[in-house]
Amino acid sequence: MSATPAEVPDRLKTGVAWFDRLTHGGIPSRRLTVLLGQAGAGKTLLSCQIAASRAHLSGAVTVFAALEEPPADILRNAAGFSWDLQSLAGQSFHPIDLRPDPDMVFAGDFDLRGMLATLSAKARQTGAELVVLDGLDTVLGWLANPARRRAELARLGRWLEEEGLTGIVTAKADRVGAPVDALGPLEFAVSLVVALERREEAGGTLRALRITKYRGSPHSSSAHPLFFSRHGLEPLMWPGGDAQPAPQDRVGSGMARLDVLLGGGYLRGSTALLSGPPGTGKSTLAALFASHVCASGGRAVHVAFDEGPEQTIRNMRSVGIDLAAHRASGALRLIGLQPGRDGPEQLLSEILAAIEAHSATALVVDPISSLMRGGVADLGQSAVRRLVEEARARSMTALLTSLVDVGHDPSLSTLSAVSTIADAWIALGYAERGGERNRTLSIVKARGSAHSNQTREFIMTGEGCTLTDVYTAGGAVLLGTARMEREAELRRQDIATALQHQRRQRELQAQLAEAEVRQAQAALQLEATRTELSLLETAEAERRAMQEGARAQLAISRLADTPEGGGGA
Amino acid sequence: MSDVPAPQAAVVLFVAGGAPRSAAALRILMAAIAASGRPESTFRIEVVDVLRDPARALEAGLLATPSLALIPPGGTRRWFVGDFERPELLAGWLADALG
Repeated sequence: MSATPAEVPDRLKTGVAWFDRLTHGGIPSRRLTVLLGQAGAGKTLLSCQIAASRAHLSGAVTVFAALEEPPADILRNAAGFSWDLQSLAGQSFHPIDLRPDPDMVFAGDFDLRGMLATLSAKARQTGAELVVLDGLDTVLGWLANPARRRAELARLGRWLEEEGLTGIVTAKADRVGAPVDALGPLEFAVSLVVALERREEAGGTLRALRITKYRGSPHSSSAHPLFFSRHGLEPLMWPGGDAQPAPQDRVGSGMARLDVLLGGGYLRGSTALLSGPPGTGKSTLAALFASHVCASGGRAVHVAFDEGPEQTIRNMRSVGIDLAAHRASGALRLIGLQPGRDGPEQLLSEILAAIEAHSATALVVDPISSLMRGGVADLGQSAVRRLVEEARARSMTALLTSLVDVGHDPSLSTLSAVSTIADAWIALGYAERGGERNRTLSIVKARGSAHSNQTREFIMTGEGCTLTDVYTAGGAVLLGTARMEREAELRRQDIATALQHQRRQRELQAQLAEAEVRQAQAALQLEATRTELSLLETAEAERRAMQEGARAQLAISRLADTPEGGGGA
Repeated sequence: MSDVPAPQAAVVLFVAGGAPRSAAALRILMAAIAASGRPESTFRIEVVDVLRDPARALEAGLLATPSLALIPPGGTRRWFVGDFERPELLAGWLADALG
């Protein structure tokens, strides 16, 4: 505890859940919070979001001093977000147009007591507890002297305390992290400073939020990437991790034998990754799951990136999965999205909106690699992480597919990125055996499950899909699933090892076949030799017998004395 | 035009407390009006202390103090912000604002 309790300001919970988490409870009550950022960084929107959330949370009233943009524009820019600022306008959100008249003439010194009097009157009239001064830099900028600007900021701070109001000021920063000239050094009078960043980078716009100052409060100054969802600005990575207790019940995969392998099915609220080369049945297994969820009373959102909904329905019908029926019943929401058209954060936003609108209990994204395509460096990975967090928070079971292209680095990095986030990883593949290519399925990892680590053969027919028994030779599983559990950096090596094993397996099979042939040949040889020997022995015996017979015959025919006969001579 | 009895122009001086400064501001304003060459009756002059009467500030959408609002008859309100430490600026502005 570096701060004494007296220094820790009371917090006003904003109702923007992630913001309250990030600030350990909200904005300082009866103090000044400053939102800094370049044009378009989302300062005004965040202040509206806080005002609206606060209104929804506790019916709190906000006076919004529009010093830069007209109130109509502010309401219009906030339209379309779930907090519906327009409907709050005049009820708990009171914008006042305080934009300076362009013909206004300045001469000599002045102070902001006039504006504070205006706001006092409005706050009393409406019973407000929060005052937003949007674009205060425009007004403070009239004061040429930095000391005067500081003094006016201090006046604002004192006024908040006297009036019992909590203040949010938005102001432009010239560049990221730069001190704001118009506001002067913010150490003074301001309790919380939040910097919003917006950077254009190859592939898209990077938005981030950073808490640069929180007086009397521990805070992390790291940048939190943001995106726009229908709830306004949201962090890609939920601050502070998940607080949800892990559910223990299972959701069927749609294939009874796979459920057995998984120890009862997928864990509810978990995310499974289905990886494999093209044509190994990823989409089928994913659709099977979505269909099963819908058939058992759940609600699924199925996002297909490479094809439209109609095509998905057609393809799956050919393996006996009827997605059209589930769509017709309303249980299934099928969405076709264009990869690369929008950045990952935009795609994420659309998927999140669909999940929410549909009250989904299950999600399929086929393939997740499309969500990561394009966009700024790590945004794709953050987007996937966010999706997984959302699934966890909603106890929604998610199935993400990913293409594996052996020897192709980008997709391998997609795979390693997603596989570390996912709770379960099912690897689909091919095995060649006896001149056939057979689909294989193995479970690489399944957190919280006693799972089989053996490879099964995955069979897809028009009647449906099933698994067949363990693929073994000589009593050993030849596909190295155990080895595939190694860390991500070893995965590439693992695939090579697996391929090597497949090769070795084929060699051994060939050797075995050869040995069997040799053995058969030897057996034949043995039999032939034995036969020959016995034939020989028979022939010899016959010959002897014949010889004996002949000799006797001869003796008789000659009537000769036989030596044996003896005597006579 | 000047021989037609003109309706009054409203001149509102917004100040925030501080009697001596307000009094000085009012003095400078009166001098500027006198210098404009128009009869004093052309103007309806009012001083508003926003600390006492913040509702008037809200009504006017006041930003800074001291501020002078001038509404010519039938015209739109114009603002002069700042203390009148350079009265000649105020006089010039008045003449311009009255057209």
